[in-house]
Amino acid sequence: MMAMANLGTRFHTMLKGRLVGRDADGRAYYESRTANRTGGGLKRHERWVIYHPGEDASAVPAEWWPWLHHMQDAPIPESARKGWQLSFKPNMTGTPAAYTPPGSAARGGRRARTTGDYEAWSPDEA
Amino acid sequence: MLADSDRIFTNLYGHNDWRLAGARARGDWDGTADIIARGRDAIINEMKASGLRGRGGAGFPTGVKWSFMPKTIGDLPHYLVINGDESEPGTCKDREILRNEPHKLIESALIASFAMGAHTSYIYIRGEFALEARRLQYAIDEAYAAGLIGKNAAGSGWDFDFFIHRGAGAYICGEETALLESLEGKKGQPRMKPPFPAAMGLYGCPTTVNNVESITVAATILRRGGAWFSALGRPNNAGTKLMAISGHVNTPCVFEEELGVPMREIIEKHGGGVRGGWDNLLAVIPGGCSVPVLPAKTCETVLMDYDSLRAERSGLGTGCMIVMDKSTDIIKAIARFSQFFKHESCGQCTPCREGTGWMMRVMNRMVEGRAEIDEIDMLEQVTRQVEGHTICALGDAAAWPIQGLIRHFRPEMEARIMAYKAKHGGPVSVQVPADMAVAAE
Amino acid sequence: MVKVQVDDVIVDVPPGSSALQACEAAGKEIPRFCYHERLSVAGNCRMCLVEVVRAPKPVASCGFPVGEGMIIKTDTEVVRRARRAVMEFLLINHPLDCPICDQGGECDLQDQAFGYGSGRSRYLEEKRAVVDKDLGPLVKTVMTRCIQCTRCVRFSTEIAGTPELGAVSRGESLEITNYVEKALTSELSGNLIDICPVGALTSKPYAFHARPWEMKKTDAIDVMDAVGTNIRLQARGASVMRIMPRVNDAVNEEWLADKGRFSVDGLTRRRLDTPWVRVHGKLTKVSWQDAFVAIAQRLKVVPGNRIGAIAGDLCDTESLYALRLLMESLGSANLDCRQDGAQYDVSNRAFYTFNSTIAGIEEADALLVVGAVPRHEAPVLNARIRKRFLAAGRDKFPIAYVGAPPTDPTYDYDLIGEGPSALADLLDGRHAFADVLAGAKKPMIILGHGALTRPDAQAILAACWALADKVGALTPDWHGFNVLHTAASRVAGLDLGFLPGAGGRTAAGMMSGGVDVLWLLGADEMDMHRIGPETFVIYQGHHGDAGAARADVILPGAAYTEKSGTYVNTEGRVQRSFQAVFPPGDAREDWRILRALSETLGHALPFDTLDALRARMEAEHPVLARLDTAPRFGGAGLAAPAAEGAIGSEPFHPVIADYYETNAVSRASPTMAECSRVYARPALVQAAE
Repeated sequence: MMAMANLGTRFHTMLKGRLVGRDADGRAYYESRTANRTGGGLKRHERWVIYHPGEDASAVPAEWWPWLHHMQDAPIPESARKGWQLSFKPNMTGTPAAYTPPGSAARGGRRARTTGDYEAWSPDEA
Repeated sequence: MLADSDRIFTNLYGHNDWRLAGARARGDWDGTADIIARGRDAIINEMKASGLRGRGGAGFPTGVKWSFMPKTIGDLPHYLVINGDESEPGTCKDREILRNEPHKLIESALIASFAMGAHTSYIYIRGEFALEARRLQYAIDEAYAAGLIGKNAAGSGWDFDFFIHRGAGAYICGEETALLESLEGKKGQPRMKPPFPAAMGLYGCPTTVNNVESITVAATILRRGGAWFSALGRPNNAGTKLMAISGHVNTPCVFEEELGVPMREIIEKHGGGVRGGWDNLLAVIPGGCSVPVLPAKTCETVLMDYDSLRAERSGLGTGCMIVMDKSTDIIKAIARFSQFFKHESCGQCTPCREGTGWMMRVMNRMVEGRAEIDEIDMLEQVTRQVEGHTICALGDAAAWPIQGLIRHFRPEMEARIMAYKAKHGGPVSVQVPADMAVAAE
Repeated sequence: MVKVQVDDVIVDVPPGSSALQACEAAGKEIPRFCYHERLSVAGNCRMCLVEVVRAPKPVASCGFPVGEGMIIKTDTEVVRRARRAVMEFLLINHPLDCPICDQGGECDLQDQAFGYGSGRSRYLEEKRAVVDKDLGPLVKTVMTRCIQCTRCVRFSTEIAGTPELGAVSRGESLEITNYVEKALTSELSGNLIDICPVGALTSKPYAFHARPWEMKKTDAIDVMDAVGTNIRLQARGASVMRIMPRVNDAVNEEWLADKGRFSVDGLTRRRLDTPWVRVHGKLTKVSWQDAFVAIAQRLKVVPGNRIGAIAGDLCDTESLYALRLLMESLGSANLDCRQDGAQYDVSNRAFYTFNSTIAGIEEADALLVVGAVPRHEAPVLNARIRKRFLAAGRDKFPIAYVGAPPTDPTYDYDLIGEGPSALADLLDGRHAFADVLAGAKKPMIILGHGALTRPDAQAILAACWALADKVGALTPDWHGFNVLHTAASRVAGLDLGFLPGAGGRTAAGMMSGGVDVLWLLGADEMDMHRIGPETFVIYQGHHGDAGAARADVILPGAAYTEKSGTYVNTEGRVQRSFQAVFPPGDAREDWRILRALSETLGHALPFDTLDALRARMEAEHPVLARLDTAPRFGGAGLAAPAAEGAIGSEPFHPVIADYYETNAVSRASPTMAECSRVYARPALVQAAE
């Protein structure tokens, strides 16, 4: 499942990559077979992810994010999720599901009464 | 030791008739009109010469207090208010006067009222004293019937009325200005001083508030002369005083004794000795519960009077000792006092309202030892913060017993805390509530 | 004077002053909670402790009288330690919830904890919590924050005269409560909020709305009654969030009546924000230009004497003046500022003002109230009467009422009679109170609108004047004849001559078909059904109320918070109010509307700015140029008002049926509606619950 990756990435993955695992949505995470990169003052393995089509970097779930950024040696297992944790959502900016603050026109413009508001009289109420 | 001939309260124990006939037989109402005929200034000077100090606890010279009343009666009437709200724990002396010597009180009230230009006197009796109020009312009725009070009281030409007001059981109403508020029908909360009651007292009129005992001895002093009274006791601590012993003595009692007698002698003679012998004595609280405690070592030598006890950083208070032997948990005893003061604080002014509760809660933890060592110092500081910053003396009274405890029994408090730590393992957070600490056991 | 040394400063203070006053005279700030200048001294917070040389312990300066040569130390270690101690005690049982407390930013405890509080608490025990009390729709309680200073108890007992608050229990359990949890019945209950030094009593309608530091403060004058209470409008952005009193010892001391304080939410409701014109029987939104054209077309075909104007109760003097000039230029003498139909004698200003002045009440030694209910018509003035009543002492300030028996005026009074016949009794000396008045050095008579709105008002006014003259209320240095107005614009209207001119019609005459075009300047308190259907009604005002509903053209004006204006209170005191916010939508200040319309009508008014208007108005009516003063003058030597007609026998009726809903602003206010539900009709509420 390398639909998302371009030719170079595909080639690189085939040559050097070792599949480490897949997240709950099936994104594949790779690590180079040799410690070929310098980072944090050490030689270490390069790590990368193959996204689903159309995704951006915020799609990496919280479990894999620390591993991908060399913060942890292993991804957090799915089983470590707590019952109260919400499911992971990528950045929705630019999509219809983007967050809008209360009172925003995109939410119908309904907001709590605030300073400067007034109720105008109309003859119908009399 | 006081000779029988020098006793003022000859019917203290009620062995004889307390009614008018019996009182007359003991010399009351004898020549009352003649005493009054001496005139106001003469009476006040005689009282000053006697060196009588207020018997309610503060020890202010009574004659001087009377002389504060305006010399001439203006638009406002003068009042004498007698404080019979004897609510101090461990104190039970005025009660004996009220039930066994009521005529002595009424006669003295007449003379005192004359001396301060009052035609009306109120006595505020503690609500729990039901029998005493009934007996006093009976005696008042007798005195009215015999013409001893009322119009032209006792043939002296002075009009005098005497009324009983019964309290409703608040300790703070024993404070003179709170008593006046209560008498006026308001909530018993002390007033700011100044103005002092002698300028603005009951209903805004000049008023003197005296303890029952201070008033009651006046007639006898005037009859026998101030010189006689001042010859008893020690200089500046003249006369006889009703005292009481309660607690761990063989014969707890109320008695009349000269001031300036060694405490040990009093305990041996009147109290029949400490339970289990003098060596079993732990501490004595010399006057009610609102003065600091004295350890046994001090009690060996101290004299029972105002100045000697003050020199030992305690006070005579009401003169009613609470004796505690070595079976007493002294920390728990003082904690009980803290509960009392927290319960009886009127809540008017800040340091007392908030401080008494704080002190009580820390003391309750000290009883268990569920505290830190440095909290003893904090507690001491809190008592200093309450002391002297309140409207009335209840704040001081709440602070002093704890100060006395810390001064004399700090090792016991520390040992209690260390024992608790040892039992419950290491430094125990003071925030652990009692029930959780118990559950951990 | 007594010489006192405060720290290094030596000051002279009047004998009987307290040590705290001496310290203030010396410029030393003494922290305090329970002490308040206008309340009795309680001395229970113990925050104001100072050291007095030769006193054994620190003394509470608020209650400690000064003596000659006394030396006070306000900044010693003893004093600082004592204050820190008191502050620690106050804070141990205080919830310290400043972030969610409405008092935050204007809290005495917060401010003083800054100076004397400790950074950390040594109190490790459980804190006290106190159940909140329900004190009605105006005052919100968070009793855990209470520091038991008892200011509220003393205010309600002493100033408001409704002793409903008290302290129950003792010691730590001491609680401020009204015990039965019923709404406070005072018209001054809002002042409890100002009085409370902490956040225990806060404003219920204003809860969680704004913080004090966000507000822009503007000085203004209250128009809810004719007292002319000095107020401060506190606005955030485009709306006034709350109204608080300003100190003015001559008028309101530092109190404000509830209607003035809490009807603020009426200013954002039922507002007229655009002109309307009735087209085919239906009101339609139009532009200003179209509205002016509609008026101009109509006025073109009407002769001047068929045009009339009635001014309401909330108008500023400038708009009254501008409208009068406009009417005069149109050739109309039909002007009236008395929408309630009151009658006055305007030949002398003394016949329609409160001549003793409000501060003068404190000198009076007898009072007769005729046809007025001061508690509802002017609560702050009523508080002044009560203050005098308390200060005078028992029976030293006798008060009598002629009129309907008032419900608890907050002082003792005699009811002489319910009708004018009682006045005759007093004039003849048949009633004993006539002797009381005659025996008094400075007797006062307050004549209210219960009497002045009757057909026989002129005769009653003359009778009251005669009575004042007879009992010696009119002397060279005392004027005891007073008229208590209920409308903020009334005295200004009378001063300006906003009254029917020669051949002009009164308000009643105009309404019953006397005019073809009727201009209502904020006049709503009339029965609009009495206006004939053929009359063309122009309503200029700020709220959609009775007037707007009847109008054929509506011109949206500015409410009192939205314009700079001059108001004349019942004493004749001219006071200026400033603009806090802008009128909503297309609404404009009233004088601008009139000026712009006059241009369209071809009778351009002779001013272009407010200053020019004022200059012209003051030149014409010099009495309006004397700002912020109500000159005291004697009553001797004045001619009596003309007595017209006979006095009737009908008893007096109160003019205010419901204190909380007397004008367009308060009727639009949800808070006032709730108050009206709770207070004015308690029987209904009880039946419903």
